[in-house]
Amino acid sequence: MSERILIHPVTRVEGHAKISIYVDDSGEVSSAQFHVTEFRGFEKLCEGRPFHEMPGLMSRICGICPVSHILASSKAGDMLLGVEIPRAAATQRRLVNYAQVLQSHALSFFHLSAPDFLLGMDVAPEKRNLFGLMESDPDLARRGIRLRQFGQRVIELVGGRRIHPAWGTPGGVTRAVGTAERDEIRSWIPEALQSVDIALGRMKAVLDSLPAEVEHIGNFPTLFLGTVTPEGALEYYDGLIRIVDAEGNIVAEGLDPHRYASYLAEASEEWSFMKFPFYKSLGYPGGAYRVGPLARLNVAQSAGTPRAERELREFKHRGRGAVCQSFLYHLARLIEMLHAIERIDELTDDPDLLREHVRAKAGQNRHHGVGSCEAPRGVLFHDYEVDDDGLMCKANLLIATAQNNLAMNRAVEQTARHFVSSRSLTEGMLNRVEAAIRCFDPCLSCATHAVGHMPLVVELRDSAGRLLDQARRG
Amino acid sequence: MVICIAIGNALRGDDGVARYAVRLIASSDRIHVLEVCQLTPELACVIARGDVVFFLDADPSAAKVVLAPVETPCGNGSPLAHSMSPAELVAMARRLYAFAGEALLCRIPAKQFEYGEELTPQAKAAARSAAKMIAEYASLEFIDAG
Repeated sequence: MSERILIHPVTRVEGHAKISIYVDDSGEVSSAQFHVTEFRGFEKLCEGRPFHEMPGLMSRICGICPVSHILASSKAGDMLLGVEIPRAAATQRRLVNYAQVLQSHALSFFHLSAPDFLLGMDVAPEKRNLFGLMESDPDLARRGIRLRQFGQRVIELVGGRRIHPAWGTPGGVTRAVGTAERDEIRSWIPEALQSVDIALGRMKAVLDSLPAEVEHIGNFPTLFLGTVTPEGALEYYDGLIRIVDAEGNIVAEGLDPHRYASYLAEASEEWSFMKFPFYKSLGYPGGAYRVGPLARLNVAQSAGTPRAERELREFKHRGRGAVCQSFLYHLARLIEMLHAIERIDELTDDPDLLREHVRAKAGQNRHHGVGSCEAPRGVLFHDYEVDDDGLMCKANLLIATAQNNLAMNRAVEQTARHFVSSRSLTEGMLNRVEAAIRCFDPCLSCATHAVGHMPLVVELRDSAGRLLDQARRG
Repeated sequence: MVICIAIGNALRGDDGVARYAVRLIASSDRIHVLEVCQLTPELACVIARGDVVFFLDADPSAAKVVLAPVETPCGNGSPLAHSMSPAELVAMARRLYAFAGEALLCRIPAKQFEYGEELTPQAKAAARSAAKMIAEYASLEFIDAG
């Protein structure tokens, strides 16, 4: 008899999910699915509200990456106003976005994922956590905390508070930055750079000792999608979309983020609340793509900052064409942290940062606005339609975690097939399946913003595809 | 230094009771107050600077205000997401930052957690008791808001 192995809840991810693994009559894993069991409704609840409220409202989608939602929402608002925002506002937005990338990646790397690879995949779960890391390497644990604290502090200094800052707004930002704030930010830079250097050294050494995990946890060809500058360098705030394939060939470039709907579409599956975006030209599910740190490093030709540039060049040697191993999301995250710190350092030298004109004022000039930016987990789109009074008629949010949905499911299945045997289940096996998900650092709170009546369905099928059992909720 | 950390969401009714309570303790150079929705790892650095740390939190299971030492987390920590318990945070501060102070959890009775910024009269009364208890314990000044 075929059977189902259930991992519920998946731990050390943001939100709630479960994984079903299906085994055939011979006890071999036949397939696996990653289910998202949270349900929220931000696209619906914003209808009828003034578009000026959207940055504040949308930031509530997530307590980990509120800045990304504020930025994408503010940019959609900029488009509705039809204004070019002041240089000081653009500089602040860039600065805070890098701080957000830094603090979010620090949380993901040091607190959620490092216990897996620094302590060992097979270590007992009560030891394989941040407290275990504190025992084995207190200095690294402290550095992880300080890196996150640095990112949070930059957000607080510029935005007014660490979480849900009421700062971004259509037309710019609401407050100027002073020299005291700038100087405090600068004072953190040397320690932050040193901490990431140490973590990079540890991570590279660890990767050499985990060849099976690198090879079999989410290693498969997909497209990769991310934002780049017109010259093809890493870009997080305002650029053009580029798509590369598994061989590293550019499939599409110079794509306008405002026209995302012309090249991306979203599919739904009845067994998950999370949508399944795909690249239209290749259809569903053939148009599966990955976003986030791994994708950004794959689509960018250069980093644009010296330390990150050296790391990027070395990183690209880990793949034949594009780097397809999802386990290397962790390494990519560290390289992005390095890049973010370098950019924060540069931006504190920019005289535009201290200018006091931070907001362009205008009435509504358009009925449709799209804003995008690179969130820590990948590119984020906010798409708004408003009426003549500036009230929201419709919103569509295309979230990074959802864009990785197809890849996460494939990673779960590949990992289960390689590591799981129903005859001798071990905690370490199941942890590797969870670790496949953690590579993507999914934020399920963000990804399940959509309203609808999609039930959660868990199915048990035999090797011939016959339905053996079904559980339905909703 | 006395550190008071009020935990709770001020937009969910009585969940904001801890934030109300800490505002009933007079500010001075001996006290540092933080209001947070949840406990996060970087707070370990902050509490390590305290001689006494109070965590204040709404508790629907509490019948009266209870002030008790923060227990050591059993099993050396649970799987950690983005939020932590007071016990986990104190353990982290002790291990990583040599925090040697006293840590206490003040559980404040709370009943109504629906959307809204209003506290129930019972929660307000409990907040006054909690603030008075903490002020007496740490020799701080209690502001009687009536």
